[in-house]
Amino acid sequence: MASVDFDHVWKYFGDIASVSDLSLHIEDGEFMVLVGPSGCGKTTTLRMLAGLERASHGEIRIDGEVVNSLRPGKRDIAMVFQSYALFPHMSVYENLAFGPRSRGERKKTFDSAVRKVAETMGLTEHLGRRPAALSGGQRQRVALARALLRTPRLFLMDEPLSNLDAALRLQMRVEIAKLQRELGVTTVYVTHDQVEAMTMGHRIAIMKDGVLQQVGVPEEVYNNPATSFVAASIGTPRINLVDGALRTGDSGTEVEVLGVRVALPVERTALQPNDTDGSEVRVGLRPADLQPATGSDRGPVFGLIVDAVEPMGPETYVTGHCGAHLITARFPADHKPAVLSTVQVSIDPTKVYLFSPGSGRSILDRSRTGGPIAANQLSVSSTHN
Amino acid sequence: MTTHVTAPPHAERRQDRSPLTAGKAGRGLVLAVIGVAFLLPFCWIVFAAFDSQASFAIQWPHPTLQNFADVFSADNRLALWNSAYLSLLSTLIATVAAYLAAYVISRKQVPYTSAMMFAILFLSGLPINILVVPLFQMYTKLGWLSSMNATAAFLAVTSMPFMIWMLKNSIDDIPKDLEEAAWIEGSSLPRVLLRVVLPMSLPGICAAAIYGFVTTWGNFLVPMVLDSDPAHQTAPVVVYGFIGAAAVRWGNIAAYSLVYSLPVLVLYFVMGRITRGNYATGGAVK
Repeated sequence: MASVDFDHVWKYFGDIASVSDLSLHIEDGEFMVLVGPSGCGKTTTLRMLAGLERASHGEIRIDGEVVNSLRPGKRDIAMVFQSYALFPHMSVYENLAFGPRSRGERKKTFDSAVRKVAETMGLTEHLGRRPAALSGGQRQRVALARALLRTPRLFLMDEPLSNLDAALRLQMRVEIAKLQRELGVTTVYVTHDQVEAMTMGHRIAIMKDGVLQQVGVPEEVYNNPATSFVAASIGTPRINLVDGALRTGDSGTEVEVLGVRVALPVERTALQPNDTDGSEVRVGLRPADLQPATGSDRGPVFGLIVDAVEPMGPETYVTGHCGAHLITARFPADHKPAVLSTVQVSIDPTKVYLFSPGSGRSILDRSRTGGPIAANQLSVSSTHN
Repeated sequence: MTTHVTAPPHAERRQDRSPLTAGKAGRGLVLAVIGVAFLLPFCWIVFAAFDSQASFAIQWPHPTLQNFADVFSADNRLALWNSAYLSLLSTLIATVAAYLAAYVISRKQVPYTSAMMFAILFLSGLPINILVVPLFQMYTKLGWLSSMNATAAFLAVTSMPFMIWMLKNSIDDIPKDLEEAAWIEGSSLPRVLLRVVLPMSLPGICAAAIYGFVTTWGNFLVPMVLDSDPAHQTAPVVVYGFIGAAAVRWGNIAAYSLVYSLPVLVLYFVMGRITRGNYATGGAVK
């Protein structure tokens, strides 16, 4: 068990920075999920931690020890690959015994451990088989069993569930999280699936184009996304991002969006002096925060022309358009408007997200207790562009 | 579905036979001519080997086993053994060296890899004959003439370029994840090479080894020039010896050729058996 530190780590492939100035601390025993679209640098980050890639700049530390030039086999880590990486010419038993044999252990010492982990993972009757004779789920279990055979300092998992069917993925998600909790081994888990990230990780780190966007516990990242990218990455269905403009109204600052004006709670804005009347903003509206109007709504109401209705069981996804904007709302299950009808939808003013149209950074502090977020948020962001 | 009655399989098969057309007949004829052209030399070898009055013509044999009795004289048996020793040793050297070279080229970031690979390919096309004279001088200086091991080493070098190409392609096909999984488990480089890469590239290694063996086994010029010791004579040199100034011993040439081609056939069957399906990458990675 160990803590992990990335200290201003860069990774270049040729002239292209795959990971840029990554600084991240992972606590001992923590389940950290790296999430982001393909090419965002999450797998490269994991591979640097495993020792399969060398960092171009910066330090990587495991338990305070700099490991940049330490060989993978010397780092005391176990890794589960997206492809499972089972040796096809060996039986399941031999696949599991490969690690102990590589480390020079005798069969007497590792045999019982192999059989025990095989039993835990339900593989006992498959020990003599080759990977080709196993189903996808069984192969995945062998890959996991290989990692679980010993108690390493770190578990690294590179999209281990992406090749499984939906039902099995759900089951394995629970199992991996449970195993991690029981063993308490620090785990770094890479995925592009935000549901996996939200449900499995103690904390999640969202990456884009090699740059760490935000790190936090799932609720924090969901409720207080640092950028429009983070807001769009987390939450199903995806957040609606539409163009709006700031206005000065009777009750202070308001945002004009979808043809209506939403009053912003004063204590939660972090607006700059130059964010004056007419400044353009990106407005984020989560589908769950858009509800059918009841007549006694807290916020303004807009009309949505319904294009599609998707009953999901406990709720209904309603997709429609308001002007040129495509909007998705998550209605209660009993609300099933007819296609092409117009429904009145109310916006909750306490749950409106505002982002700088240029940098995508949040310009609205959504933490209820905190004051305005970092000063000069807008002006700093604009210099980035 | 229930009303549809499917025809029995043999009925369908009969329907597949389309009528004979002029085009089809023409194609068949061309193929037959090519087939016969390939078959004729084999017929000659088989017939002449058992013929007491063999000549260069294909004729029904006057049955005898005398040709084989001549061929298996002590000297000729030694020549076969010499050929086997030379071929096995050179194949071993070439395969080990080419496997290691191919691994490095395939896996490590070697600068100018593709330029180097093309240079290697060009080398494999270089005719050995133009190398023989300078090589003879070199071996004379080094005192390596009449050394079978030195001859085997040179033959290994000549077959290596093409073997590197074959092996590189077969190592390229092995998913890198497998090696990385082994590294993470603490494997050493020799262990990765022996326990992971080698078993998985076995079909390619067998193919390359067969190629190396066949090129050496059939090489006439190099062993004759570099090793003039009569005790080190190889099989192709013996066949050459059957062509005398006064008479050509056709029957012996045929019988010896037949015996001489057997090891290559055996090798193909054995290697084919080793590599059949056992080590495909099935189940390694999805």
